[in-house]
Amino acid sequence: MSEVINHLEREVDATDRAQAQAVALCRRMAGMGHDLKTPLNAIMGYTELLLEEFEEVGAADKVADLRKILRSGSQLLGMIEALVRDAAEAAR
Amino acid sequence: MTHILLIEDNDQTRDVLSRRLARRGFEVSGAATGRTGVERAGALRPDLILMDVSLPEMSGFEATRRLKADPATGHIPVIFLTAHGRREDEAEAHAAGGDGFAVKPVDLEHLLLSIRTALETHRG
Repeated sequence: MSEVINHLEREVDATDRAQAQAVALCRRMAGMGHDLKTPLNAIMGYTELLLEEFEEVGAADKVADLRKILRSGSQLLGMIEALVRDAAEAAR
Repeated sequence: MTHILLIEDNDQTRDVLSRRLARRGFEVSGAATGRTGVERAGALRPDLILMDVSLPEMSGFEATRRLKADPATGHIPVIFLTAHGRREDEAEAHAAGGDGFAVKPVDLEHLLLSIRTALETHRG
């Protein structure tokens, strides 16, 4: 009987540790939002700057490519924001 | 020419936003920390300040509280820039005396509208 109780206690401890690790991981991910978004802000900002400059000189092919970079950047930004939001909720 | 002081610690973010604003006809000066931002605001007396929230040495909120408490700079409108869109940040920005709030990556047209509104409100 005591062997069964010991086993159950070990199981509970392992579950508690796993939950604590999961919460810590979610908190780290939630805190990474700023670090992930900062370089993406630069990528999107410089892309928009180049876009404005190429639009002025009528370089349609360059403008089309830069718009593709911006669209991908926006998609990535949306994914980062969703990840951070989900991680923050899970950590709570 | 309207003079904007951009207080932002990330070199690339500061560089690209300065250049985009300069293309729209603004004179832009920069500072990389909250402390140097307060010093430069006192020396340059810009028409408007764009203030990052997360800054080394002194947060954007604290820098704004100091600027607003100083009669020499208290009239200068401050628009906060932040990587987060958190409600608590927006509330603290308002409490610190901020005149606007923009989330990075910056939508330039939206930011220009906030800048114009803040300038008109303070001039009016």
